[in-house]
Amino acid sequence: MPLLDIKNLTLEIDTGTQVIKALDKINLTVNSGEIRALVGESGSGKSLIVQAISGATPPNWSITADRMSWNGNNLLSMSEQKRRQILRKDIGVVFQHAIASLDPSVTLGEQLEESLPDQLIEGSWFWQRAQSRRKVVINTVHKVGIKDHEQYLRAYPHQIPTDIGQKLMLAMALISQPKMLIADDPTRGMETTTKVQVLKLLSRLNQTRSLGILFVSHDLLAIASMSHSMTVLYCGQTVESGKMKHIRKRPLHPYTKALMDSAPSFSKDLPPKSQLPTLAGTIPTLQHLPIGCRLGPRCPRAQRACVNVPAVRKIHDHSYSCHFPLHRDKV
Amino acid sequence: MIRILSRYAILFSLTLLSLCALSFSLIYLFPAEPVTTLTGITPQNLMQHEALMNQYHLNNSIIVQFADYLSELFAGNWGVSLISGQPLSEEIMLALPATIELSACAMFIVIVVGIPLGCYSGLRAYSTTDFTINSISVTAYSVPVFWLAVLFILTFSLQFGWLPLSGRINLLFDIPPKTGFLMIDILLADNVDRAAAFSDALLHLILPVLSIACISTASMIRITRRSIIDVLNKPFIIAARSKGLSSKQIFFRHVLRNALLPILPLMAMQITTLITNAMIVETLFSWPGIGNWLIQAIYQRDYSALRMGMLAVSTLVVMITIAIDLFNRLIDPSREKYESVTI
Amino acid sequence: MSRFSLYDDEAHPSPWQHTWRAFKSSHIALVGLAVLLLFVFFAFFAPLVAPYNPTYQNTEALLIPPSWAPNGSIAHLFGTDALGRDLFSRIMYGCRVTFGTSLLVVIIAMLVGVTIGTIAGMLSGVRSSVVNHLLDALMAIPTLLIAIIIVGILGSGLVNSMWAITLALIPQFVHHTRSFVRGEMKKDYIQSSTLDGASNLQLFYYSILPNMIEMLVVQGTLALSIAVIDISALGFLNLGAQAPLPELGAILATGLDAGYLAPWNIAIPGVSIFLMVLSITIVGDGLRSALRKRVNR
Repeated sequence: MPLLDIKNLTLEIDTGTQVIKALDKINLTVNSGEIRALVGESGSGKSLIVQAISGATPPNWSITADRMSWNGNNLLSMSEQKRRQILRKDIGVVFQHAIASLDPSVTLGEQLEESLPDQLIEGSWFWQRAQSRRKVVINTVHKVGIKDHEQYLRAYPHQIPTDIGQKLMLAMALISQPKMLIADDPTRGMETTTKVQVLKLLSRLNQTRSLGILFVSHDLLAIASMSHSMTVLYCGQTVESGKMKHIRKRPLHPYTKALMDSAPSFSKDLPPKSQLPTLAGTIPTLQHLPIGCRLGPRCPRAQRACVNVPAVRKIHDHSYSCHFPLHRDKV
Repeated sequence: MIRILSRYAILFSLTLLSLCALSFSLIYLFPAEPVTTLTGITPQNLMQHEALMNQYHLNNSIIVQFADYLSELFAGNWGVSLISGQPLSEEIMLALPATIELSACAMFIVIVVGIPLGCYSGLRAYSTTDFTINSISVTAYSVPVFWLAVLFILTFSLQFGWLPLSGRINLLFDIPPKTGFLMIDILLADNVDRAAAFSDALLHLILPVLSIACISTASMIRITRRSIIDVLNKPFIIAARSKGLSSKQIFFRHVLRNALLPILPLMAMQITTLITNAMIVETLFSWPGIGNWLIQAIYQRDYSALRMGMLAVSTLVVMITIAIDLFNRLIDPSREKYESVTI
Repeated sequence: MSRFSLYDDEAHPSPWQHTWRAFKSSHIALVGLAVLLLFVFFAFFAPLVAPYNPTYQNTEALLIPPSWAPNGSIAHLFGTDALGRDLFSRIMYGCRVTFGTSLLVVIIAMLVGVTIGTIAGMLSGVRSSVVNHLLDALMAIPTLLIAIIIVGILGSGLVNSMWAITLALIPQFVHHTRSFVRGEMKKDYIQSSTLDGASNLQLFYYSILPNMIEMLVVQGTLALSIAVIDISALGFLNLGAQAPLPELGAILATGLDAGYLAPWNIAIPGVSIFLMVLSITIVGDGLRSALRKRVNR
């Protein structure tokens, strides 16, 4: 049974003047022990999915889905209390901008201790619990790769460098020993060495504790090395989804192919001074969404039929939604 | 820590020095003889004039005069009032605690009523409750304080006769003024019926405090509400919600601290307005405070009293403002978010 | 040929149009604006519209109640005061004096304050922090105190009370302008203009001033409400406008004498001051939320 199962999720934002369908029938599944990458350009709605799952939605959003369940329990119809419980214990979220997601008036140590639910601390007396809380925090901080915890735990969010902040956000998410981690672009703007450290940590956690990870990013190199399966998102629509090795070997959707081609791989022997392959145009803004398949205006294989939204088709666990996929000739 | 304290001590002395310089310059700016303004004694003939000039070094250079002025100030020799002839230090020391008592009670009500109501209103932003509270506070904020006091007097004192009209306490009680704070003096006096005196003083306190507090509370509600709405929209509150914390936890631990810290600098402005309103209200209620005293002084053109009174009140206000600033600096971890706070 | 347009033309409203649209959407702000415009009308056209001369004392018509009371007459809409002067005309002239002087005070204070604040913000030096603290400490002196001092030096009168309130409002403008300019100077668009070769004056006029207008409008409405209350308070205490100059606070003070017999002499001037400040506050609030909506869109 998958940990997180989302089917046909639609997110509509009411801006007062018009209703925009920011996410259009998204399908997403994360199994236990699986690292799923959610890939898309900036503006494709990746962060919106994270917000929809965690339930922190402003009042002018309306979310409808055929199925949005965690471990079999329907998230949409659950009470506020139960949903909060799940968020506290089973799901950990790492946000994009670490410093902005931290309370500026509280020390980091306190914020870490706050994320720890009561069940995981042993000891029955006040001071025992406080001590063991501190111990768990220090352990987790070491595990994410921060050596001298004293200095950072006493500091305030605006006094620490950004990459330490990112690692601390990771620690905050992991401290409650969740079953799934949602990482919203955690390695953005990091240097390669730190990035590699974080990615190694994540894959180690995935192997040892079978922690499911939903890794939202547009860094293909990082994702390609460690994720098991991938969902490609374009402008609020899932265009392709399946196991990583299948997609790499044989992408079925033109957008996926363009994405794969655009990641520069310096091992391929390209002829010198040749043009790098790109997809013309830019992602449309929310106010000007094309009807039907949203890649239509940019797609080199687009035809008349693309004004209708393509249905989702599956080939052995590899699902795609395109009228003219790459394994069929352009008609 | 020591550095911060010493910085503030230097700032305080500098400001005090400039205030003394200002009050010194008033000697020459007021349209009366400098001798008169300085001492409060009008010289009757030329000899007395010369004697006074020599005594107070008014013939020497400005620097010497100023130095002398400062030493007189610290010695407590503040001169006498032009009209009543009493030493100014006594009069001011009696009048100032009355105003402080009035302002302190009003400030207490403002904090105890204003901040919770503002928080309540901010948490339910844009709902009907919030709309009601906001409308009431906008209305209360716009009422001129003297009109409100007059209305209160007309209704509660004259029409209904529930509350007394003037003074701090019924004249039948004779409380010796030891500290100047009536409440403390009542507790210290030993030949009066303390409970009766206390309740009587309280009744006298109600109307003036209410007139001042209405307006300042309305202002505080608006400021707090805006601050809470701003904090609720910040990303770390969304992150905290995703962590799975309950609303109560989020509010008391994160929202409250981050919302109250930026409004501390605004509190200083509030206190200034509060004291101005207190001074106006004192004239209407014949409350023997420094505002009433100063306004009587200006009606009678009592220049020496004006000079000293201005120094006393501005010193008090500056002390309070710098204390709030220091407090803010000590407890606020990040000082960057000072600049932009709105209502 | 049909006249519809094939391609929907995008309407991109300018920032001011945006603000006006957001302002219009709140009905209360529009009502406040209407009341405020009424006061502005009085401020400019009171001599043309008032039925009587405000200082004309009609000894046969003393203390006539307003027209809605049983013994009132329509000749005197709001009744008369103890000296037989028509209250309606007095109130109109009073609005003119109070509102007009407040506007003048705010404009002068804004000009002086913005100049000083900009200079202090752009040419910031090492000692600027001390100056800042000093200014903040001096900003805390109560308005009434400044007014009393100035009245003591110069004597009482409307003009002198105007000077007092201008002096009291300037530090606020200086403080806000200074912090705004300092914040903007650190931003990249100012740096790019500087690299292009803009002088300080050009920087101010073309880059900083357009962004500062919003903050100035907000501060201006705040200062206007403070100025109205302070001028009427000074008039009430007889430190500002002297009788027989009609000023709302002074009218209220003279009305106090016969207050018990003729409560309309107290109620009506008070209500006018209240409505004036209320409309300014409501319009200021509406402007502030309109500007906020525009920025957060």
